[in-house]
Amino acid sequence: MLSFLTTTLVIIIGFVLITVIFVIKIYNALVVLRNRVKNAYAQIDVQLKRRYDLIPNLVETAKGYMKHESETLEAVINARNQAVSAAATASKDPTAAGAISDLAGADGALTGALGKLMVVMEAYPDLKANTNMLQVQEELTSTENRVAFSRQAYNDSVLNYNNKREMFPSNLIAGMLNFKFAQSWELDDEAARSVPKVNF
Amino acid sequence: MNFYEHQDRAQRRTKVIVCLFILAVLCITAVVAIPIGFTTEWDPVATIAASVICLLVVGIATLFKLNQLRGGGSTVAEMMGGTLLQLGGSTQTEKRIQNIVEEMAIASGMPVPPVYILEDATINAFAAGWAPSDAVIGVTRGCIEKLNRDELQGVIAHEFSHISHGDMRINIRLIGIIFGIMVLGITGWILVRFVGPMILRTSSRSRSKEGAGGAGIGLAVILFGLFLAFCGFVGTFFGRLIQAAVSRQREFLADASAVQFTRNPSGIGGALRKIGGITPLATPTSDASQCNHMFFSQAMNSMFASHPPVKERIARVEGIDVSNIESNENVASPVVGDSLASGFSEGVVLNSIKNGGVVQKIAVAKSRSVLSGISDVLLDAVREPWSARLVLFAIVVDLDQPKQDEILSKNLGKNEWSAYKKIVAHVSNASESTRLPIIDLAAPALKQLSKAQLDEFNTLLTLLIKSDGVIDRFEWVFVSVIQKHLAPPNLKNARAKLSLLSDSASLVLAMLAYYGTTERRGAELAYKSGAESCSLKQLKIPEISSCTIENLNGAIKKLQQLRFSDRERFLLACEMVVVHDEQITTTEAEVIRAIGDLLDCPIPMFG
Repeated sequence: MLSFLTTTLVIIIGFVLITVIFVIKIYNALVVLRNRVKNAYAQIDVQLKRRYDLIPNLVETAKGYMKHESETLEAVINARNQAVSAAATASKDPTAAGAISDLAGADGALTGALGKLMVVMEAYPDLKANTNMLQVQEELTSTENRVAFSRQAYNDSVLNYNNKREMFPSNLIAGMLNFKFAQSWELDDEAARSVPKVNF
Repeated sequence: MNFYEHQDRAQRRTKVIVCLFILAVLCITAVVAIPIGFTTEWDPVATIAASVICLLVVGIATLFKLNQLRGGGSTVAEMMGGTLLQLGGSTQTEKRIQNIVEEMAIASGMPVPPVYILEDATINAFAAGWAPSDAVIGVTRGCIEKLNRDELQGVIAHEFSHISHGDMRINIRLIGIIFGIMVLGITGWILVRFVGPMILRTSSRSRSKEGAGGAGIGLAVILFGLFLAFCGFVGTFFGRLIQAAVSRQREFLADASAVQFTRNPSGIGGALRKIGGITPLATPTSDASQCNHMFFSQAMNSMFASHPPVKERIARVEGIDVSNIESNENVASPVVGDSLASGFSEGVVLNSIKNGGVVQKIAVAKSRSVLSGISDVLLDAVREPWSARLVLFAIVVDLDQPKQDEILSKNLGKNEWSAYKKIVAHVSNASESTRLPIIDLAAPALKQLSKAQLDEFNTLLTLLIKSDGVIDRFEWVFVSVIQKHLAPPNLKNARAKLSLLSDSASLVLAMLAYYGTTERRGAELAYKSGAESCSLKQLKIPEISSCTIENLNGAIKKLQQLRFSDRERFLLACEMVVVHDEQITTTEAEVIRAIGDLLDCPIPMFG
């Protein structure tokens, strides 16, 4: 009886031990992957900041030429401010629900507003030839490329994290310990179509 | 003792420590199995099962942990929740720490380690990774904000010397094994806290006969859990003691090297004073306690000090008489200017190789001047992943090769291509001595590429270098260095002797000989002097046709298995080949440093 008890005991304990190891291993892997998502987001964040800092400059230059287009300009500024605040929320915790999709929406709206401004600008050849304007536009384009590049890296890291999060058995741990689903930054159809068009 | 001896010793020491720990695990197993055998009157099934399970658990846990740490330094930093510095930092203090790390890495000839910030008000720092190419530096927010530049430089020099002493490898293994033992304790705690009470509860509900047996099992589980927790605790205790004993000596050594490095005991001394003044230490996270021994000062305030008392460290550091530190600075020849025409005297390169991993103050000054010679456009470009790739393409591309341009224009996007064109102009204006530093500077940005982006980058790089079929000049060395910075670290212990890899060694020496001179006779003599100096079998130079990229890459891969004392001999032989014509061009000097980088032997900048 005693040896039967002990054997049962040993088996129970062995089972618990193996479980413990697995839990810790999975937990650590999740932590690393989640942190990697955050660091990959930080890479987008610095580029977005640069992009958003360029816009007031662009609007300021345009103002001098487009006296009658204050509505278009205001739309750009508004869209920019919204994108700035969405980016600030996302940089606190990119895995928070809705943070990235809000940002993607706000950034897409900004791209749209900028696109409209460019269309309007066609009527102002002087503005189009302004050196400051050309420089800002060039920088915006190159920043847009960098954003796209870091977005790709971010989405890859999100994919890794979400896969780990959803696969058995790590999904059990992820659910228990509140590892939230991370959103990748998908371009919605409209934004996706408008990005390549921004050839100022 | 120099860098190479330190590395070899660190490898031997690692073996000893691993043996010690295996012994410790066997002891723990015995401690667990004996009482079980005793209570079951030595029932073979129960006793053997207990010992096997105990061994399995510690073994599996250790292997898992080590497997997880394969990712190298960045995994450790990310486990601790570090935030990677982007674009050289956004605040003034972040920029300062980035500058200090860059300066020091460039000076010592290793890729710039990515810098992670830990949001913590205490003053602390750590270095993690298997080798210089995957090392990271972690610093707390308190560290970069409370210390002045000299003190920070002292702290970072301390961390760099952990890298060059091979301490990081030992540290990572220690984390793995101690974790394995710790798991035993945690399991015990779970048995006491959850499993035992659960069995008790279910058995008290059912009043049948089995219920009574269940209560017995429940109690037994709790008792055994207590016992296991005790064993785990004792095991971890001794583990930490061994860890601490190893670690304390390394700390003194790193402190001393930091002083030698900066020639300024008040730097690291001041940092230690500030740490001493700030008490009590904030409560560290549990992850930090696993990595206790990696930090600059202790993350845990406990009796298993992995670091010597701060007071004693201050006394030792400030007691170092700087004027007595053996100085090689006077050997630095009077090289005038930094132009392409000027060469380096023999002594300078020789000394730099011998001083692998140890940086003289003059090298830091030199690296600062090289850094300030790189245009801001390039410095900015090299710090972010998108443009860092383009800079590296620009560095390895030979402007006389229209084919390479064609490949790039086909494979790069429209905007990338125009950005690349601008970068090429800056790169071709830059001095040749900035090539390796730029590659080193690009390391943190490139490490941010995702797997898919990295594969794409590597493919294009290989395409470029192979475009002309033959290697001309030294480009392949630089391509290999870039690819080495991005490859996963080599985890094997390096033990091979040079005599066994003599074919590989002679191939690399031949490459250096052929490209150092235009005439065959000169190449033969240069090769011979190098081959003799490291006593290779083959004294006749291999044909130039055998120096293909594939062969050279294969040779370097094999040479990476060399034990460190033989790496030094090999690097000195490389130097012999290069100085044979009594002049060392900037390119030749940089190629030697690049080969050092490939062999994980950081060679400091030449004075």
